[in-house]
Amino acid sequence: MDTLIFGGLFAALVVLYQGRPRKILLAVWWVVLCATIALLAHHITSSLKLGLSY
Amino acid sequence: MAATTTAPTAADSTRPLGRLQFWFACFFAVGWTGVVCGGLGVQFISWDYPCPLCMVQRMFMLLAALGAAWIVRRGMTGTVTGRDYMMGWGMALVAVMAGGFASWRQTMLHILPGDKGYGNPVLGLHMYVWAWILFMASVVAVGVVLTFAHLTSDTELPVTPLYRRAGLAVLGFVGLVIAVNLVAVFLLEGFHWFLPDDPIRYQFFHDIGVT
Repeated sequence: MDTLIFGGLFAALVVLYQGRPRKILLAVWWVVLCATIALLAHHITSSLKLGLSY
Repeated sequence: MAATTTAPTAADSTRPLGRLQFWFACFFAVGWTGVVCGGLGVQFISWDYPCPLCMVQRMFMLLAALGAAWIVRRGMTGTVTGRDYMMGWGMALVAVMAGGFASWRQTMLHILPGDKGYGNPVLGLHMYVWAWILFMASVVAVGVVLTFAHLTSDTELPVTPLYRRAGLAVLGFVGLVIAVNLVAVFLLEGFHWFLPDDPIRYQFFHDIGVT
């Protein structure tokens, strides 16, 4: 998944460089962002301990 | 809001700081890409294997760089509307906040007394602590830039070789670093969906029997 996300980042840069409409760039960028957040969530395997009860 | 997307007036083009946001966007994109280069340096020079949360933070850094890169790209055309500035800095702000959460999480994993942290410290702090500091500094920087946007943004920039070359250099640098990361993470992950919590080898070479 990490490889795909970096591929998405590169695709977003290509869209940006080519001067495509902003909605295409935004779509690619948000998809990559959401994928990265999902990857982060996958790797959070224990409590965030927001109750500060260690 | 409509005034920010209309053609510039004569007064706009005479603001002494009117082109500052374009150059700050160049600095922001190069800066975050440079931070990712630092991670690559530790990976290949110190030969540390980046953990999954390290890679996630690099992704957020490059997502933030893309926000600034959008302003740079628009600046290369000679026209950067208020909407362009807001979109670019909005993308950067979302990405640095998400990255700040990721680096905070990794810092909290190693906060208890006796924990030596993941990897080797750089300049006295671990990479993810530096990342958290820089993510938070970026939040402040974007806020400051937006606060003074009426003084520091021009809707029209000169279409000169200087601006175009600077923009191409910035976009080329971002593209090169994304490409290097793409190859590096593929070799680290191989044909697997996720990195292990504590990588110990470049999995691709192991899977094909080279190591």
